[in-house]
Amino acid sequence: MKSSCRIIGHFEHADTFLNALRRLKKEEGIVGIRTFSPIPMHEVEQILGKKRSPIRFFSVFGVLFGGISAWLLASYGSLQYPLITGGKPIIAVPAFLVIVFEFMILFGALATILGLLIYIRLPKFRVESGYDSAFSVDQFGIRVRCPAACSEVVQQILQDSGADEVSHERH
Amino acid sequence: MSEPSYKKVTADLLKTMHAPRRLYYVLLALDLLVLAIGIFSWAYQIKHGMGSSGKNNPVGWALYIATFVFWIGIGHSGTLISAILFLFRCKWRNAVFRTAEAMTLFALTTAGFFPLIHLGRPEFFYRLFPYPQNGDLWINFRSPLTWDVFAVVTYMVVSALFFFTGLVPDLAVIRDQSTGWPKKIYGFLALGWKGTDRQWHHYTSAYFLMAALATPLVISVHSIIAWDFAMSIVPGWHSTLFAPYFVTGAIHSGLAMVLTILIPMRRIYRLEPYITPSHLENIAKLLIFTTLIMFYSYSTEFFMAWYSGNIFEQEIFLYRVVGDYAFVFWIMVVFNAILPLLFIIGEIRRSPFWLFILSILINIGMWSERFVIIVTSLAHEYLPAAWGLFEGPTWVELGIIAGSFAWFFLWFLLFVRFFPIISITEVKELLPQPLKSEGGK
Repeated sequence: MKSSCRIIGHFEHADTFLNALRRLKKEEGIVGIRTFSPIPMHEVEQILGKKRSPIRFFSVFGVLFGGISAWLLASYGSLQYPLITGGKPIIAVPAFLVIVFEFMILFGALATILGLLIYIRLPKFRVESGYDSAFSVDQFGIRVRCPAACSEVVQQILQDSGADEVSHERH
Repeated sequence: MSEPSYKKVTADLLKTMHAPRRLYYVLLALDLLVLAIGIFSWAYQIKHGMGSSGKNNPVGWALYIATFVFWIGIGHSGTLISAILFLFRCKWRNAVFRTAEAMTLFALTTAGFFPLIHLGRPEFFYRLFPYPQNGDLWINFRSPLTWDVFAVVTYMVVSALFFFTGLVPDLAVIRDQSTGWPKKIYGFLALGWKGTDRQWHHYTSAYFLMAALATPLVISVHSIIAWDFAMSIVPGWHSTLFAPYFVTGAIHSGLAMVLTILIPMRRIYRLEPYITPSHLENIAKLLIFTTLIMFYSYSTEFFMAWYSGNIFEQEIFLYRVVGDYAFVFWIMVVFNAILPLLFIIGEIRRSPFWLFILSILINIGMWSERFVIIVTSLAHEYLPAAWGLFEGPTWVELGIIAGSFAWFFLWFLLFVRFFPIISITEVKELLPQPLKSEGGK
């Protein structure tokens, strides 16, 4: 991309925002679309063709890791000083399962949060280009990154769809 | 009635964080005073020994463990409302879950102190954790008290993560609406959240997974607390009923505490348009459900004692009804399993006044339940020669328990001052989206 630009459309209404998004998605050559909204919107995911989030694999990994490590910890700790208590065997399956279960949940939750932070690329403390503080309150935004040659088409689509404001950043 | 706009919701819900009125500072000062009494009492106990708390044979567990179980229970409805009702897609939870979740977290932080207070030598608390101690001796992984440590720590960490995850989009709203150093602090806490398609996509997935993980956790935690008792062979404790009975009791007390907190809060902060009578009514309906289970559990305990033919079980349950602590037992039965049935009457269920009064009675009833379970069984075990009475409560014990309530409410007072008590984002999700085709808002 020789020279690219960013065009940001501000919308007060969800229907005009979604309409603009649909039209941009259909337009060939436009790939860098980013939306901002104060609430999660399933329609956005459908239009952008999002696949299921892979965070669930982090959770599964965390759960398995937690379970196995708890079993190893309890077994190792008990074997280090084999003292029979309560008439239970040194490696007591039902008793250890309680600790295994708790560790499964603990590490499952920790891994889920880790996966979330990795996938949403946070924490990030620099200002995201095109972000407007109204997007967290009551406005919807679309930021399109495209070659300079496409910028007019994008601006036209945003305006025709009912954007309340369209701004432009050249890079 | 027209729905408020997103802008109005944001403004209304952020208002709770504005400079507080004098009442807030009066409450804060009173709270700190009671907390100071609690700290002094604990310091006194550390210096003079556990005897100052009225603990002796045979009642070696008393108010501290009763209050520990009580506070853990209080936390349960927070996870019920935030995770279980989320999985069931109960939309009404959106307005109340933040408060319930905060309550969970603060109740757990309070509960966590009691095993330490009960230790007598709290400076050795780290010996509860798994590491090779003297002579490579590890903690006993087969002991329910060790399970307890794992369960409570897990519950605390997961609740804190769940609470913070839910808070992040709202922290971004506060960041965007503030200036100066608050903007920097909230900006730091919001981690750079911008509400992009990518962020919402993964966030909703992660939130769902966290709810799915928290749901079995909440059931497991109070089951494990119940096994602290049920794994022993003390009459009145050694029962398979204990785990579900404790879990229900925990949800029962937690829902009551949610009402105790929400009702004055909605009044003080003028949140009636957001926390409506129907929200309170729904909590009351859940309470009818838990009340019926409590009633069933109390009855089943007696049935099991009678049907087992075990004279020790029969004796302890008879002792509970007519013995030295019968008045606490009857408070438990009436406040937990009979009076809340008044919620069947629609007028009572929809009246904030009656909801508030009954919620306090349930809180008293549930604390009494913990007392009855612990003290009566220990006071009246197998050997009549070893029977004895609880030698408290002493001023030290009462001071510490009062201090625990102050600690819990201190966190709440700080929470309402610095964070939105209703989720701004989730309330917006309940509203119809602003549409141009309908004239917009």
